[in-house]
Amino acid sequence: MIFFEINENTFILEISKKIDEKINGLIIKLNKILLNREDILNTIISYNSILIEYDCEKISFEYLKTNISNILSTIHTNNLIIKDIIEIPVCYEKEFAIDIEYVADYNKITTDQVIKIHTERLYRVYFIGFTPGFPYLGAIDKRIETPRLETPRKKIPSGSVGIADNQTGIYPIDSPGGWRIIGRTPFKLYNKNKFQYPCFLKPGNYIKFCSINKIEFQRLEMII
Amino acid sequence: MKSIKILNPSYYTTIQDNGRKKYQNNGIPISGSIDLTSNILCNYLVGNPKNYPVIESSYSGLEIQFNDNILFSITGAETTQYLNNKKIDNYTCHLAKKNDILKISKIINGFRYYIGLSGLIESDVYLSSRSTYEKIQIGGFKGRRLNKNDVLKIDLQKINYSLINNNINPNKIIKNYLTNEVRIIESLEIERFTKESLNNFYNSDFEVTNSSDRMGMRLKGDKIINKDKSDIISSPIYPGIIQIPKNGNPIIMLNDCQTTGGYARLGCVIRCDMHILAQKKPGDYLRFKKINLIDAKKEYLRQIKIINNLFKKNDRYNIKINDKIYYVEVEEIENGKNR
Repeated sequence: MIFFEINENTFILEISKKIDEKINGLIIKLNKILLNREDILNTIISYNSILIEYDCEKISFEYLKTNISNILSTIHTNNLIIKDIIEIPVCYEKEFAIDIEYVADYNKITTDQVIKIHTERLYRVYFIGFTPGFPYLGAIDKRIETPRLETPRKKIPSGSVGIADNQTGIYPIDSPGGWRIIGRTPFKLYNKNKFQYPCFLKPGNYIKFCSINKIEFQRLEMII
Repeated sequence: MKSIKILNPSYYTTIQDNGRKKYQNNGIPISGSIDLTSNILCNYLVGNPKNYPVIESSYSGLEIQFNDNILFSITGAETTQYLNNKKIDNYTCHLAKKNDILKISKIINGFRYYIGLSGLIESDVYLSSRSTYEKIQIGGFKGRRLNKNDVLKIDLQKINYSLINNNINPNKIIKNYLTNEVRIIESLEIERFTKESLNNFYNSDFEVTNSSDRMGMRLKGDKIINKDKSDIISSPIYPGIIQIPKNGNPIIMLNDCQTTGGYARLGCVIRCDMHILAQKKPGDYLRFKKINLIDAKKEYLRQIKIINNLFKKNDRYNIKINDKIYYVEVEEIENGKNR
């Protein structure tokens, strides 16, 4: 566990170097506690670390360091409960999947196998980052791991499902991006009109992808 | 309701406040004024609370028509401006009369300037902030930059004429931004970089390139070499953090930056020097200097104290007793006791 003070009133606590569901669970719980406090001005979570900006007129880093260590010792993450698996339909047809052939070739398998492997696993939502609503999902099967594009594309359409190394994720809004695109979901992952909870997915959720065809995609797109 | 009209929006003009915090775990950037001190000072000058939204712009050419009598102030970059045909000072509170036209005709030094208007600029509140973030069209004026002929409404109870000519010298609060030197605290992946390239990092100039924007400043100069040649697993990033991608050219994060990133992080620019970054335009140079945490914290607390004291005296009223008008300043007294 390392505390990095990055500026006058902000530090990053890195709990571990690796990606681990239990450590991520610990960070999510710690974050919930801290976000409710007035002396905490801001937080950002990721796989294994949490950034904390505090009100340096009220509290000091030294106080918070002890305080957070105490909070962490009271949080139990021994029983990882997987509830409410969210199914996300994805159309893997070529029109929506510009890189699926590359991913297949890179891993020396067929595109059908890529789809089968990608839809087999349960993925954890570790955190939301990058752009509004973008879920970092993992970890994917080694058989479909593929590195990012050398040069990111200027525009990836919203709903695109991508792979980057051992992660998979969904682009909620049109944005630049360097992940390998293997499909598209008609689901809207970021709805700015839902004020307090604009994101469809939350850290700690579990999701599963299911393959749909283009007709189903269009039908869902109409009603969502 | 009072209002102003944008006659010329200049290059990229938006409504910003002090940002959208505690929502970054939805992937939403903080946004807000890049030069936060200038934002705060321009609110101070016109008698607003310090977190009120202001107009942020860069490059000269901005032209505003006042449709009513309104107090305004200009802070940030060193600019030349005219109210109708009269040259006026920045860092000063001015009264614009109905149909007056304000024009920012030249930027002498710096990059971003701020216009504060007495009263609350009517704007969209999204997740507790009025800051514009165009990518998902939130905050500010319809979630976008200001265009020609946009009319901004201003909610104002009463003009406080006593504020006219109220002025402030920013150099008493913040380091002069004319310096090219920004101080940083080393941390995070600092050990990944070679000794030689860190030596170059502190002893050479870095040019601000024109692919810089409100998300980040992309720099060009000596290449910073990452020994590991690899990225990190996606981790939190914040305004001021210096990321070093594989090409070795540093990127300094600014207010519209992503919430997480995968490039190795060398350290972070201190809060007390963020306004220096805000005032550098493409083609300008930066030089980095190491500072220790103790000194940085001391300076930051001092700055907060000065600003808080300014606003303690900012509640000013004209009160009428027995038909006589008195001008009073309202100040909060600690613990409710008389001092």
